[in-house]
Amino acid sequence: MKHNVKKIHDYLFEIPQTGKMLVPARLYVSEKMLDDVFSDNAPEQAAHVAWLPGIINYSMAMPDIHWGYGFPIGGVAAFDYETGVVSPGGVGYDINCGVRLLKTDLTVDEVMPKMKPLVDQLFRDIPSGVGSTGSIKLTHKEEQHVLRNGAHWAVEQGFGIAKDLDKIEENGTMPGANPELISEHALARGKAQLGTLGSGNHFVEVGVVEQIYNPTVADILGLHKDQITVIIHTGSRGFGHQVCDDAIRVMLRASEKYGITLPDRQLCCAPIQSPEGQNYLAQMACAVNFAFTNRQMITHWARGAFSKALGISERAINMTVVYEVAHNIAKIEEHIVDGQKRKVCVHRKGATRAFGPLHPAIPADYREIGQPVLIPGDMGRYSYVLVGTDQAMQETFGSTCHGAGRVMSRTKAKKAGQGRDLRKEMAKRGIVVRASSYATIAEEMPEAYKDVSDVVDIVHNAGISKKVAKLRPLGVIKG
Amino acid sequence: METIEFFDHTADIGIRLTRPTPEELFRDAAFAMFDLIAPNNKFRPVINYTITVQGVNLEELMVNWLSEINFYFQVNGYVPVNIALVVNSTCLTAKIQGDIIDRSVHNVEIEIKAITFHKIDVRQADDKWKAQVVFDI
Repeated sequence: MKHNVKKIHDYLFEIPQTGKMLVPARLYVSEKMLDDVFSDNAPEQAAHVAWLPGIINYSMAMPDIHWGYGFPIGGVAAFDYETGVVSPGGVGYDINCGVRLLKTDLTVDEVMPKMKPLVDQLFRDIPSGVGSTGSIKLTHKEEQHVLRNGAHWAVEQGFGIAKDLDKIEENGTMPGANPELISEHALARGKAQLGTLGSGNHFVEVGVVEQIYNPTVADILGLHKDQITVIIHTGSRGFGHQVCDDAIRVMLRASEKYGITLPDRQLCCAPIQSPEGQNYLAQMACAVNFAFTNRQMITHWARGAFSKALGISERAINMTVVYEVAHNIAKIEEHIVDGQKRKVCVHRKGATRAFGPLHPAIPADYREIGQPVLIPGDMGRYSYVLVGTDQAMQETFGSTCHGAGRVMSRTKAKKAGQGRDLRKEMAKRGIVVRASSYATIAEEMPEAYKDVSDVVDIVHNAGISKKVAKLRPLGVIKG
Repeated sequence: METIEFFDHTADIGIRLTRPTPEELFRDAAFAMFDLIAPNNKFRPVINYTITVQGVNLEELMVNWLSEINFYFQVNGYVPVNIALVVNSTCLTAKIQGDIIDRSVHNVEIEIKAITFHKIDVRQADDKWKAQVVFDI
């Protein structure tokens, strides 16, 4: 497939439309990355997405592209709201996996001497690890509230403050959620796991603002050099996994029913306007709300852990939400296509919304600078804050990358971690790590990921988002 | 010949196995999955469950079977120790004896988010039964 690829510019390559593709596929990558990107089936997956009915312009992939199920991770595709499809595989199992960035009034010098007790406290207070269950056990009625109202429910219960909601996509509640459509299996998995970090690549990270690229924008976001920050990366836990699992079975039948030819069963889908399509969107919204609630509760516990470990009041720490993004989601949005406003369903699977300045969905405080975009890296290097651009609105339905992207399988990473003391290696880099198992630390070691700086440079140079600040990790808890 | 192999899929992991009968294939796919989730443990056959799952074909049946026992693990911490199966092309009934995981004693390594249809392959080839399954972790 690589020999057919056409260079559009230094950071954009096109797989031409062939066979049953309805549009070409476009990859935001550099020439240097091409061999690596084409070493697995991810580009073929991007081409397969282009088979799906109603796709508009291109099937796109961001520079953190890697092999997923059906859609590649890093995939973006928009479908016409009237004639297009919605696919659970285009959202992924961890529905509304996302990232929240918090800022504080603390400086690195104040926190560094207490980093170890701080990380220990976060690890104690935030349930994490394989199959982690929370301290909150929801009743059926409470769970229904969570699924309908998202982070608003959490704030009503005393987890955080109302102001937190202003800086979350959808203000923490996705409309259209219908808990009546959720299976007993999903409800059972959700009941036990609200307010938990989970395992794998999910984390809470204490960091410091190391570099500012755009002082004016950083100032509006309230970020400045040497400031202590917190990143929360988690999603909808077992609830979302089960919602996706249930939907895939329905969509396999729906694809046959509506005569949709699939190159890969994980791309199963249904017309957005069909009962199956509408039901999935209502179920997905429940999982989106579950994840909003999850991150809101973890925020509350992070505030408490900081206060306990540092012996400073929460008011003095002043941990506030900079922004929160979802990077596994399908959203109904309006975009300009060929000069006309069109309602579309944008699938972002391992991709982040990056709306340009003045978009009404952006919080009023940030509207002039564009939507904040949060790109976590691996636990040993950096994370980035960017903002969305007008160019993203024109080219990618307001979308950009979501993270570093794995280069090493978990097994390879575990093997590479054998005989080493990764905790000590991280400590030498000035990073305190706590995880429920050594295997998790090995799986998540920095070498297992692409350098997030390379990924971010591509979206910056391609113009689909612009760098604002670089954050360096100081302390990490892993699931 | 009986074979079993674990293979990598970028961020995730899969299993390939060959067994003489469909019952052994489905049973050992389940045990292989729990070898990934909670390896090197001693569990006792103290709690019994009977599970029935259906699927339109063998592949969906395999995904549904593994999803169902993963659900029992996710919600109750249940790990199978002995499995007796009856399988036909669209239905499976399993009588399971197992244990509840105790995190203070048992080793748990990974969480399986879902059993995927990606590259799924379950079939009879000559006198053997083969399966390939990829897990989203």
